[in-house]
Amino acid sequence: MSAGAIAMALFGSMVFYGGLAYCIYRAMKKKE
Amino acid sequence: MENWQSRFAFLMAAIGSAVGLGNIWRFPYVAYKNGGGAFLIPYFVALFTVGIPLLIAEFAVGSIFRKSAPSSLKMISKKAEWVGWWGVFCAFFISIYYSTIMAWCLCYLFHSFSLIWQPDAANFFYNKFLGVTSSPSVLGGINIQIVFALLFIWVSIYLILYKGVKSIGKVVAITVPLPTILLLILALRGLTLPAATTGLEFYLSPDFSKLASPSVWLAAYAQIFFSLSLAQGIMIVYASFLKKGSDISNNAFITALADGGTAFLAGFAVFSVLGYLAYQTGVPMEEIARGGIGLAFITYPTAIAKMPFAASFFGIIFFTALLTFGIDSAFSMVESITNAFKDKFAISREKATFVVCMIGFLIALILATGGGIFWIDIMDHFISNFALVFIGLLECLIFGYILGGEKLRKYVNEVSEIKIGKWFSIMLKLFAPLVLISIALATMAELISKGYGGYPAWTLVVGMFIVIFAIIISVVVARLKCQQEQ
Repeated sequence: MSAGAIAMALFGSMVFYGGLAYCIYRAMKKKE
Repeated sequence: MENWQSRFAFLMAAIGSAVGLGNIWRFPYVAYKNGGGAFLIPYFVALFTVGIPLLIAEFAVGSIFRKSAPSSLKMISKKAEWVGWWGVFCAFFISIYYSTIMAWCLCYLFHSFSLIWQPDAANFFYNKFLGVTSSPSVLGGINIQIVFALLFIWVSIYLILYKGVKSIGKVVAITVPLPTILLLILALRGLTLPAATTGLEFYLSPDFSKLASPSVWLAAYAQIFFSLSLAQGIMIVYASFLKKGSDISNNAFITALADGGTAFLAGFAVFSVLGYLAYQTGVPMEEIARGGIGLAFITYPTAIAKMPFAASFFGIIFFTALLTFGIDSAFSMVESITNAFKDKFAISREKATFVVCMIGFLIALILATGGGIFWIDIMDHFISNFALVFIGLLECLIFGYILGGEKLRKYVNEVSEIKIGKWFSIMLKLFAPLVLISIALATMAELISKGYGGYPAWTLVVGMFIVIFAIIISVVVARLKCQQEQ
């Protein structure tokens, strides 16, 4: 796989799953 | 007053509604056609400029008025009620053809045991399974196998909905995580196949030159708009069951990111397997890569049948995932219209759900014929590309100008974990309407210049008639004086 494809896979994962993890963290923090 | 048992139940229901068949068969193909990995850039811009603001607005309206879409819009302005009805009728029409595609998935789930579609999946799907006729004007006979599957789907929808949101909460606790786990298994299997990286290269390799093309940006906005179940009254009615003071903005962020994240993951499951298929058959990826019904019922099953071991098992996993992803979206559409009738005519949930499911099943029988696939395509094109886009536009104007974008923002910030800035009102009042008008104009121009799908002109007139018919019944129902009002 090319470097560009790997970079986009990482970028997509970071925004989607990193963003989701952050939002869930904020929700859990409020619950506490 | 009905309420979700927990925030988790609401989130699962909203994510379940947003994540549907389109996440599996539309996003990966749209990404591939529009710049591969570079498509993620317009996708994220579209997500944060239109998708999330509209989702926040719908959640907020549902949470403030605690009613279905038509009743909520009526409380904003009496003249706006019909827009809500237009949305819920469109959701109902979509649920009809959506249920038919799910019925196909159910049949294919059983066919996976014997991989019956071999050796020619296209011939099996069109000729043996559907018995497709020569044109939309020839409906042909009803396929009994699909009728039984349809009956199962509609009975399931009725059983999930008639008891209310508590029962929905219990169902989505299974039907949302389960297909995600199955998708993960498919992605892992796909990635371990030979030549999987060739497929992923097609999916993710960025072509930044495409970002200069307006059509790529429009495709990103359209993908976001259709994927988030917006403008159908679904998110409004789901948010109406939230307890007072529940979070809005963070719930919208979680729903939208989970929706996009599932589509992104689906791309790995789909393109890795397509790479393997290209390697096995020697056919170039450009010819293999496709989206929609062709991907789900022809290309992917062909690839599954060529897997080195446990092919049936992966067929069962794939169609179970499609079925469980689809059922949440299907019943959310039905929930939207049943609640609208419940609010307007003060009838019981059981009665409203039964009548809607019965009518839905009976109309869907037309789509279980040999000509059904043509009508599914035509209905989908006109309802998604014209009706939903215009409803979205009207919603933006009603929420942004009549209810007030700043008023909505103030309410959202009072109850939410993540505070939103003034960008929200600007997006809702100016940017989102501009984008939706652009999508409508681009689709209209294409329809006029090229027609659609090679169908005869009269079928396109019928497609437009469905949209206009939905407007007429919406206006009529909105003008009806119900018992409560009198």
